Amino acid sequence: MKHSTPTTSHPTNPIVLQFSDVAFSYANVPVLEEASFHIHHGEFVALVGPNGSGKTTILKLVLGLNFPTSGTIRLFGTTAKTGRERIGYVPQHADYDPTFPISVEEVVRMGRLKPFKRTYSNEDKAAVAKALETMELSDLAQRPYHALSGGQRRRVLVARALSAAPEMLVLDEPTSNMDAESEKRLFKALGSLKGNTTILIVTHDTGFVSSLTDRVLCVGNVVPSKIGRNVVQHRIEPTKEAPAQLFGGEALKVLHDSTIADTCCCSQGEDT
Amino acid sequence: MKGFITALFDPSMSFVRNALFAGLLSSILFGTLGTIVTVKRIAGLAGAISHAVLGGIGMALYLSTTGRIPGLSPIAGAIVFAILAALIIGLVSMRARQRQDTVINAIWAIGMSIGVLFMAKTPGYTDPTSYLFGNILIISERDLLLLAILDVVVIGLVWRFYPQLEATSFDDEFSQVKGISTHMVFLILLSVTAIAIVLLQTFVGIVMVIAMLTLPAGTAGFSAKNMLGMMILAWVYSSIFSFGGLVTGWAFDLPVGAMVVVFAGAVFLSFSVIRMISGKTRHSEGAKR
Repeated sequence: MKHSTPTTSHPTNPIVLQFSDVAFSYANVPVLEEASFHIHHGEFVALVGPNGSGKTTILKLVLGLNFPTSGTIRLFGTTAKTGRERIGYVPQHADYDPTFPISVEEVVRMGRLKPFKRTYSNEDKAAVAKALETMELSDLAQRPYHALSGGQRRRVLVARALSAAPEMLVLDEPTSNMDAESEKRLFKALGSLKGNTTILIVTHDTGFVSSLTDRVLCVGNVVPSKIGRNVVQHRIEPTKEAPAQLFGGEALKVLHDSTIADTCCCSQGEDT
Repeated sequence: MKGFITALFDPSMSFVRNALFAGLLSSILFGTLGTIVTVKRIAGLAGAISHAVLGGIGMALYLSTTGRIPGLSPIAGAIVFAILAALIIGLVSMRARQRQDTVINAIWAIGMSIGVLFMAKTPGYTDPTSYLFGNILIISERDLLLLAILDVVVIGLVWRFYPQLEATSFDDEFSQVKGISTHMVFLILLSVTAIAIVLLQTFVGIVMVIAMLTLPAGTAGFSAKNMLGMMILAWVYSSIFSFGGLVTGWAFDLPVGAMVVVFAGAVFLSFSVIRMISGKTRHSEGAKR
């Protein structure tokens, strides 16, 4: 396996997320071991890996829904549970109930929710309208959520996350079961956010990623003499091999035989 | 109908008026809690709690009749069992979801069995069916007051925490990330539902309370645009079903609780069939185009 220099485009920006030797087990089954990686402010990072490799586990750790059995996670310089309020989360929402009565606007409004807030202010309403516009959903605002296509619903969930004006956007498999048109619109919106908002996108497509991607983190390498998996960074290069309509434009090929060390791109410890 | 209206205004038949008020007050709970139970898909949990209540009723009857705890009311025993069942089911649902089904069924069956055993050992004759199927015509003014208080509490909670309730019902994980204590919301919801079930079972009985928590809300779900609309519509449907059940039960000398549930079930099934047919028609028209 080759090692090469980093390709990150934001090495001088502060680190917003840092995993240091993180291990996690479900009951007695190790899922992650010695997982170390970091993400800089403004980066567009793809977290790739086959199904069942532990990508969703990493997301739950980032969001403070699970806690590591060892190692540390720093999010915006604090714990995941505290830092997550600065994250916009786009879940898969696979177990969604199609009979739930709710409009698109009401779903997006949830992004402005606070634990004890009862009403929404004019500022909240403006943020919701802006998020709907960013995701090109303004015309569908009053439609029932269940009446939308799978791709449109996924864009609604992105709008919901954006309505809170997050500093970091975390998307769990946003393009699964998505039609080409929705995928194009999604990546167009993500492209407009790139640079200002840190984006962590999770995908099970291990071969190719969107050309918006700055870095690729791969979950799946089994730690020698252990059971759990860790996270490594792979080099990426432009390719014409992948169908552009699947990635909202030109795709990048993930070079799994080329690993970049986590520590070589910057001096770490400059948390915000 | 005319006979019912006459009885309603007859000063010597206050139990008929109490029954009507009980139906209308219960409808508020059936509408609000029923909607949450339906959209959160926890009707099975509510069913287990409602059946576990019989254990508490049986135990309270035994303890008071045998003089061990004189004057202990069945409703007190029911509340203790309902809260216990709610907490056990809630904790298992949160911590060991894969065991949820087993625990729900165990609590359902064990609660009822305990009730039957205690009733069998209670001196004198105790008929479990009066608790299983309820009797709205024996509603007291104290029951009405308790129902009214619970209505106010539930409406107050829903008014205060509607956005959080809507969000946790729609997407629990997202709500958790937004800082809402979804586990606490769930436990409070189960506990309030448990107390409501205890009071509501006097109206339609243990067996049928779960039907009234799901059928009006399910019917409202066919046309409601949001959760608040579903609550209001479910309340209206529930009031109509309760009134209809009372009138027909009175007119034909039939159990009111059963009549209410038959009405609710028939309307729900009719709506389901209409929705299925109209859905198929739309689908085939779409295919032709």
